[in-house]
Amino acid sequence: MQKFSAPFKVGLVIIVGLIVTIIMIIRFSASWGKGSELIELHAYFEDATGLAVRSQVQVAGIQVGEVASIKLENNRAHVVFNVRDDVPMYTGICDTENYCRNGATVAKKLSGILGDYHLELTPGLEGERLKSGDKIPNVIQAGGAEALLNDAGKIMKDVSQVTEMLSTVLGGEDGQQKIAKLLDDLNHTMEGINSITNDNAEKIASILSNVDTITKNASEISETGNHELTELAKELTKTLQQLRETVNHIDSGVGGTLDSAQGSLDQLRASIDRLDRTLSNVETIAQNVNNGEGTVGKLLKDDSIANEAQALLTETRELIRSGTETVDGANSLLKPVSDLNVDIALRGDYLVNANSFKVDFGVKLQPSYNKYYYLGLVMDPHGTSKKKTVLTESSTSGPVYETVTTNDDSVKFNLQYAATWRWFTGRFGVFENTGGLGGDVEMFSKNWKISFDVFAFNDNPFPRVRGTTLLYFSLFTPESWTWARTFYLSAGFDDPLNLNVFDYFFGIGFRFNDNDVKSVMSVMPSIK
Amino acid sequence: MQDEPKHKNGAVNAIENLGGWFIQLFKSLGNFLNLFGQMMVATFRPPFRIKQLLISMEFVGWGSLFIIILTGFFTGAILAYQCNYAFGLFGAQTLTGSTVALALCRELSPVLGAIMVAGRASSGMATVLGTMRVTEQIDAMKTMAVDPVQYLIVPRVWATVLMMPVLCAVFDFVGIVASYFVGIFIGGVDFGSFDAMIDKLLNPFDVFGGLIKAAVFGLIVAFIGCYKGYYASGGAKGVGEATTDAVVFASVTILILDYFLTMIIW
Repeated sequence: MQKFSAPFKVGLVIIVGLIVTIIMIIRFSASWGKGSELIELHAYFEDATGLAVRSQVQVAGIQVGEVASIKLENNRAHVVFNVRDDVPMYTGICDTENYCRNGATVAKKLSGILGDYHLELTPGLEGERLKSGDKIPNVIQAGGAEALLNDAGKIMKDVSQVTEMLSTVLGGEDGQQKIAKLLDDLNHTMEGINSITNDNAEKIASILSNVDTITKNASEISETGNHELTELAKELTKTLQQLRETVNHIDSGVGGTLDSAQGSLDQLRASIDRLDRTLSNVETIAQNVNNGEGTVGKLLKDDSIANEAQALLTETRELIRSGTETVDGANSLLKPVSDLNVDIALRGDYLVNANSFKVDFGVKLQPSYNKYYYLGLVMDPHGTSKKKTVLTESSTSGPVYETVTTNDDSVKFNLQYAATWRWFTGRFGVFENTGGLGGDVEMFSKNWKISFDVFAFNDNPFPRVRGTTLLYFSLFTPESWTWARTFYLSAGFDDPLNLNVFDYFFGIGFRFNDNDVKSVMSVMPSIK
Repeated sequence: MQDEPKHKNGAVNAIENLGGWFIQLFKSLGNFLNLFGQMMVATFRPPFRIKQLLISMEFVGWGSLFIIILTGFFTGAILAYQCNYAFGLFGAQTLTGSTVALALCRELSPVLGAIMVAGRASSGMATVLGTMRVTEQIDAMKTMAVDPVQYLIVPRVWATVLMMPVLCAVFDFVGIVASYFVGIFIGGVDFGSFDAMIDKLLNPFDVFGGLIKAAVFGLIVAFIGCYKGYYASGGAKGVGEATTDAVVFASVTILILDYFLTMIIW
């Protein structure tokens, strides 16, 4: 390495120092007054506590100037401040000495909770424009925390009055007696309520129990006996229909024969008999139900069925819960596997100097977005052909040497661990059967990738450095061309430090991942 | 009766020691100011030894650059970390950057930078000059009509005066960058607020003031190193003592002087 001279080193340090100083000065310079003239304005405050030289002057919360000086003048604070000329401020129309309508105002405002203040200006609307040296027409004397404290003071006064009144009404011996009497009355009332509820506790319990039974039965009947009752109602409707027809018949045949009348009466009797039987059936069914006989009766009356049903439901619920737990367990177990992204890539590169092809096959296993494992096989002719001088024969004239080229075209392995941080990925592990390091930079939505690998530290005088750039077709094709996502172009240089084996290459590759496989599978006809 | 004169002698001795110490102190102070005066005069008298100045600038500036960057980075980082914790107690983490920047620009960069230079360069100057003194090279120079103050002290002192502000600026910058990383990436402070508070609390004079301080410290640090080496005596042991004294004396002087400079500048 060339040794730098003393003047060069000194110059370099000075340049670095100057650059960082300039950066900091520019960075810390006030930006509020850039490119505009300043005017000096004056204001008189009763109290300038918290204001300091270089305190900010703001309009609508934006700094437009700063305080230049604060002096005591006639027991008032004379504050001089500079403001940007391009913020026009007006004198307003002065009705009285202390107030100018629609004129500029200035107030002292609290900047934060730590007691810093700034000046807040409102520029005003009317009158002449304020010039350098003018006085701000309206100065608002109290604002911010002071006003708040004043308000708080008033509120405290009110609270104090209220407590005083309470003290007058309830304080002293008289007040104490009143409170004692109030509490006494309340106690009596509570005792009365208590005794009533205690005396009638059984009755209340019985009433509540009855109400409970009634509502329960009604509910069960309406739910379970619905079908039976519907059937009964249908039969009743049918009987009544026949009765109506018979009566109609009698009406229409008043002038008919006695026989027909007799017939009609017979029909009526038969109908009434049927109705009677039906009603008697209804009564029997109701009695049976009440006695817990028959299916409906058992359903309604037999507790064991309800208990069994309850037990069955509990068991089912347990079963479902345990089933859910099992499924959840299985899910959590399978989650890392299901989150795993698998990328498979195959690339062929033409090595220009070596005049041969290199094939790179790799599987990227990505368990989370910020890391992945890369497994690969490479058939790389780079650097594998070595020229060797060997002794072929010995003759009388002396030994004969021959230069032979040997090729080592065995398959090499890649096994790397990679961690990603934003657009940068760092890799380390096995690079073509030797230890190495690598880094990738991805840009344009991961459509352009630049990689650098350094490995094979022992093979040649210098480690092998390889720079590769991958350009995905999807960078310059429409989004709808989904196939373009799969293909990419590659180019790069290989081992520039070892000039005898230096090479450059270009090629093409394709890649697909498990999602692509899934989408292909979903459109394939299912096997029957 | 026999003991009395002895006792008397002891008291006299004690007073003599005190007086001797006082005289020695004034002698040292006199030497110090005398050498300082000589240096100032020699500064403006030709020949101007530019090459010596450059060599010294390289020694102080280039040589201390790495240690300054390292110290600056970790000072900024740890300060930001602690500020972030303390301000976090009342939700004011946005003040982290500005506080660190202010502390660095006004105090820490000049003081810590000067102490680092004292440890590295001042001790080196004391050793070189001390060795030259005890091996009588300085006397040899005088016999060859070369002014040793002009040849040895002037370039070293002015090189440090020139390089200290540069190193201080680098310290400031690196420290602020470190506080940025710690504040934003570890402390989770919002970048906008972090940046805005720096804007609000700092102004260019904070940087300038720090650079002025650094230059004054540079003068003191280098001069103390040269002074201790120039007046070294007693062989290798004396050179060692001169070096140690230079660092201790320079460091303490920096801290005391910092108080007064802060009062004067701000």
